[in-house]
Order: sequence, then C-alpha cells, then structure tokens
Amino acid sequence: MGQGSGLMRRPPRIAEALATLLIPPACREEVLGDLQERCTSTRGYFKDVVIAVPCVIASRMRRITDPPVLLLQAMLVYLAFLGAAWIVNGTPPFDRWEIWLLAIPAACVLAGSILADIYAEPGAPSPWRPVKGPVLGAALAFLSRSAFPNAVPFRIVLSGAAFSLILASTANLLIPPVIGRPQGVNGPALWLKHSSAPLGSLKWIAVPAVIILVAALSGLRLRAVQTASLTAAIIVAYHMLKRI
Amino acid sequence: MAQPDTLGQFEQLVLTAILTQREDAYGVTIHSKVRELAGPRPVSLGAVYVTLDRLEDKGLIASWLSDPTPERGGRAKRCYRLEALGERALQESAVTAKRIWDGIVQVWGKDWAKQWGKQWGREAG
Repeated sequence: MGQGSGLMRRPPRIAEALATLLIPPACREEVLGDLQERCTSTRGYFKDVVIAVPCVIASRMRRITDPPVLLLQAMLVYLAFLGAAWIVNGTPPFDRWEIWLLAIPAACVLAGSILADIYAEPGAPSPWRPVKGPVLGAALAFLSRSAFPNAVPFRIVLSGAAFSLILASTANLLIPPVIGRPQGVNGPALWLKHSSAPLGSLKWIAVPAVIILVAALSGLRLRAVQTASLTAAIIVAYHMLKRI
Repeated sequence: MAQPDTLGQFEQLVLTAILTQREDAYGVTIHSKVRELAGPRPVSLGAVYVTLDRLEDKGLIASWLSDPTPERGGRAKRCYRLEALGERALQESAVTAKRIWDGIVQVWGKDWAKQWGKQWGREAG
C-alpha cells in the first residue's frame, strides 16, 4: 500500500500531460505512478514534476550514453560538416572561426541523436531506430540557423546534415546504442555497460585520428596553438563524458 | 568475487532505505525513508531516482515492475532489492562508520559519546 494513499488526490491534467510528455518511456510508468501517489495538492504535484523530471531525464541520458561511442559519433558528425564546408567552398576551411562555427550544426545533430535514444521505446525495436536520431538532429541543425542565421551558410548545413545522416546512421548500425542491445528481463543493469567495454579502446584510435585529420585538412600547415587547443578540447570532452 | 565500489553517503542512505523497506521498497517509500535518515536536510525525489539508477548500474541493487495498483492510477511500481554486492558494500560502510565513531570517541571522550547518544535517543523518540 502506498504511503501517500491517505492524502491522495487526482493530479492536475495539464501537469500530468506535461510529465507524461517529458518523462522518457523507459521509466514513465513508475515515475508517473510515484508522482500520483505523492500528489496532495496541485502545487505540490507541479513542484514534484519540476524537481524530479529533469533528474529522471539526466539519469536516463547517463544510462544510455556510451562515452567512447558518443565521442566517435561527435567526430563523425563534425567531420561531415567539415567535409561539406570543403566541398561547398572548394577549399578547406582554414579560417579559425569557420572551424569553430561548424561545431554548432554538428552539436545539434549530436543532440538530436541523444534525444532520440533517451525517448526511444525500450520494448519496441524499430528498423528505423539508427536513422531516427540523425534525422531529428538534422532537423535541429536547420532550426539552429534561425538562432544563428549568419553562423554557417545554408548550403553547408544542408550538405553537412546529409553527410552526417549517412555517417551517424552507419555508426548506429555498426555499434547499436545501449538501448538497442539485448537485455535480460530482470537482470542487473551492470552487464549492459560491460557489453560495451571493448569499445573503450576506441579512445586510443579516435584521438590520434582526429589530430591526423586536422593536420591533413590544414594542408600540413599546422598552427601549433590551433592544433593543441583542439586536441586539449577533445581530451577534456572525453573525460567529461566519462564522468556523466 | 567482484569488489564493490566505495559508497557515497547518499548511496549509503538509499541502500539502507531499501534494506529497511524490504518488499515494499519503491520510489515513494525509499524517498520517505531517506528523508527520515538524512535528518533535517531536504532530499528531492529526483536525487533518489538518479541514485537508484546508479546503484542498479553498479550491480548493487536489482529492480522489477510490480502489478499495477489503483491508488497509482493503474500504474506499476518499480520495486528494488539489495543484491549480494550491495549487501557487502553496505556492511563495509557500516564497519567503516563504526571505526570512525570509535576513533572520535577515543579523542573526544566517552562523555561526548553519551551526550550524542542521548540526543539520538531523543530524536528517535
């Protein structure tokens, strides 16, 4: 019997609909049930939703994210936009700001992939799952143009989104996200992470690969500060992701 | 056998709450017990969810969905129980806490321990 059953009242419909929309499907049932059981007033329910839902989303993100795979995806998506800029402009993007601005649509594509994984139905495998994330990400990349209209030209976003769609979908097919891997019914979740352990070795390939690619794209005219800062950013990003 | 990770204080509270709630350990009851154990400090439901997920990923606890109940709008509860690794981690934490207590008593004296014992007794009712 629930603890709050004596004080319980029906939660406000708007707040319940909002919570249903925001809570990831994998934990929606139990979290909505807990929120309803704790509901004593409209204000209290809203407060619970505002406090609990962001934590539930963050926790879900941590559970489904595999840092080495995410780093690999980030590199692929960024390289897709870098390649697109090269093809559209006819020359490699040497300008310092151009290189950094390309990270805006790339980050949007990556955010879309993460969001699609967070809100994927765990019990409903779909053949479209590897494509869903990159498609949502591409849509977000186009939306980012309304926030930063002069950051990256439309043609580069269009070509980059197309390349990243191909590369990220292929990566998803080859390395399925944690949510798409086989799971035991009631087994501890520990081994889910273990199944992806060999991928940890990717960092030893990924970091030098990026450095070599940046060197190649710069036509071997390496600017020491630029290369060092990019390498440092990649290492810091990797360690931050590892801590999530 | 795998060595359990060192537990943080909040993880210790959540594991203790699961242990004391036995078969009725789910989000609401665990949160309520953790609030009681944490004393005057406020504890959010979100923090409990995050910790439960982390403990499950570490293999210290296991979860399953119960049958739907009408007081929850026909929704199921996610119940939790301690795994062997979780029990061992909690035991180690309790032993460490005891060592800390003994070390403090050695320096600050038995009067201090008695004073705290009385205060705890009052708090426990």
